[in-house]
Amino acid sequence: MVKAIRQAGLKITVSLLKLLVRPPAAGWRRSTRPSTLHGR
Amino acid sequence: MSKSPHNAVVLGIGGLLGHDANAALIVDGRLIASSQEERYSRIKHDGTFPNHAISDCLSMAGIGPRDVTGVVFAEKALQSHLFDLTGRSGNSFTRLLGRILPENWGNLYGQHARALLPHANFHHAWHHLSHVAGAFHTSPFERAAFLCVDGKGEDYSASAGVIDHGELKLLWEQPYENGLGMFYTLITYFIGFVSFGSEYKVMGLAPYGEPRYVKELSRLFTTDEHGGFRLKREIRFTEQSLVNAFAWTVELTGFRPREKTEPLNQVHIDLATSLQQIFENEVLKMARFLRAETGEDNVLFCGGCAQNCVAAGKLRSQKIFTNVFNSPVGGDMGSGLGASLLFERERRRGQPFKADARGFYLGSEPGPIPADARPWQLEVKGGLHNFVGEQLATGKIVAVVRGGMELGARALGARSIFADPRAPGMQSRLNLAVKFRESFRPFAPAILAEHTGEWFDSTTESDYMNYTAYLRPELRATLPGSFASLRERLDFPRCSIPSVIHVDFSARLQTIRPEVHPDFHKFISAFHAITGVPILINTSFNVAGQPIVRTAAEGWDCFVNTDIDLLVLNDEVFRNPFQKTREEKLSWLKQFAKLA
Repeated sequence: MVKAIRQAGLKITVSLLKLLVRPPAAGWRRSTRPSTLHGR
Repeated sequence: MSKSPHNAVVLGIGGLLGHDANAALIVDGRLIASSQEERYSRIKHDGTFPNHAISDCLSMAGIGPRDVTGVVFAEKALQSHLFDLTGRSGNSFTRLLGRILPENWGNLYGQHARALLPHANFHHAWHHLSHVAGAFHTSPFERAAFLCVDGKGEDYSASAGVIDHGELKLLWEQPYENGLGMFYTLITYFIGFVSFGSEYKVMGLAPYGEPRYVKELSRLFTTDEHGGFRLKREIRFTEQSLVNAFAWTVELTGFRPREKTEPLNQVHIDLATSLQQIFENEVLKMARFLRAETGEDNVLFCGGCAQNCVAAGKLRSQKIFTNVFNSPVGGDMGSGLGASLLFERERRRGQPFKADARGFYLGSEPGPIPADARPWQLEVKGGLHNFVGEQLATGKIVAVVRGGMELGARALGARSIFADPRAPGMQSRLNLAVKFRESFRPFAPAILAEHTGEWFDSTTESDYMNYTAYLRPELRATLPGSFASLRERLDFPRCSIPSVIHVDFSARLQTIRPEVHPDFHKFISAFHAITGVPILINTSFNVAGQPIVRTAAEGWDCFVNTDIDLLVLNDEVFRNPFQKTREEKLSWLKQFAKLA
């Protein structure tokens, strides 16, 4: 049961991501990625 | 339970992205060991959890798994997993998820590591930061710009920024995995080199051709004046995805893919040359962009693409930056080392430190000599180095298994095969009867550093085959206008050391300094004293498809199945029994053929 809920949650998350996040243009872009080990 | 005498025992673990699993160990700030799992499992580019490598690192420190206080993975498994699921590169939304979800999610390595290392805290480093830290803390620089160009980080293919002792700033990145590294891999597969990690073979093939097909290959990607590069099709770093992209490649370029067993023809060779030229141009554009944006004098060139030492050589010769450093383990085989150094950097809160990489001899010793070898032991007169120098000067091929094992794909003199670069036909002999690999593959010269300028157009140190240099013009023979075949071009006597000089007079230089590689320096010095030539052929001690040998026993096994004349195991020398039939040798070779 828990596994099924997790799987469903994952599917929803992935669908949301695909819907909401558009691929950025090619080329260098300013990084927003943290520059430290623990930055997430 | 006894308390560990150490405060910080940090294990870096790399390979989570599916290949080249590796481990590195830092104890109380001192780099103890680093090695790759493939050397133990004997499966080239092995990507399974590096149990053996970890165990060997711990044993070199005289500690056990329960003493490990921290583990740093060289990838952020969660972000990589999200990218694989969605095909969308990281952004503020995935970062938010990264804060909510457990960071170990999707990390199979994490499960293995937890079972093995019960007391350790786990950390996950951005993949490219691991590469940058690995390069910076083993480089001579106090501060530098960095250019990390890779096949795949979690969700990006290239990154750039600046690093000094106090701070690391990631400034730019190119999202997605269909970047420059993927392009090189796609064409490498397309022209028939379908074993993982074969890009270096294509780099070696490139000088035989002309860049006739740049225009055709350029239809596959978009780029800009700063090297903002992207393939026009999304491809994943899986064999299936690459093969699926062949039809698209055929459609856009008009060429057809080469089967692995099909002979190489001039079209394949010219495709390799064109690919290499595009690659170099893109790297140089990226470097110019970085130089203009940062104003730094030094650059660290890292990531898997930095293993392309021809491009690294161009980066030097173009003088875009005053100084260039590319690590011998700039690719994923050194990612665990980089991750552990990133941890150490943050543990010291920006206090300056450099890791003593000890010539990158970071693995364990060869162990005991097998009993089978004893009947073939030779009496050594006049000292080991002089004896080996004399044998090499008479045209003998000598393998060496001695001291700590090298980290990375390049043999640096501890698990190496040495030979005389002057001997006619030595390149073919080594390729076909010793390494059992393609005859076109070049060998690298190891030269006494103090003599580099007498032979090559560079005097810059290249301790780890970092870059290619060119033979001085006055030492080159005049070449005919054209050659009838690749074979004829290869065999033409182009200089006095043809085995280590490529057909375009380039060489993947390793300069040997006594303070970095003392034992290797003695071997070459002995050869130099006899011949007047301060150069040896140095190639890895393995055959095609086989990981470099690790132990004395593996060295003996490889030795008796090849045409190497002499073997140095620790301080002793053995001659080859030459008892194996050709059929027996071929049968032995078959176990590695799949990965060749």
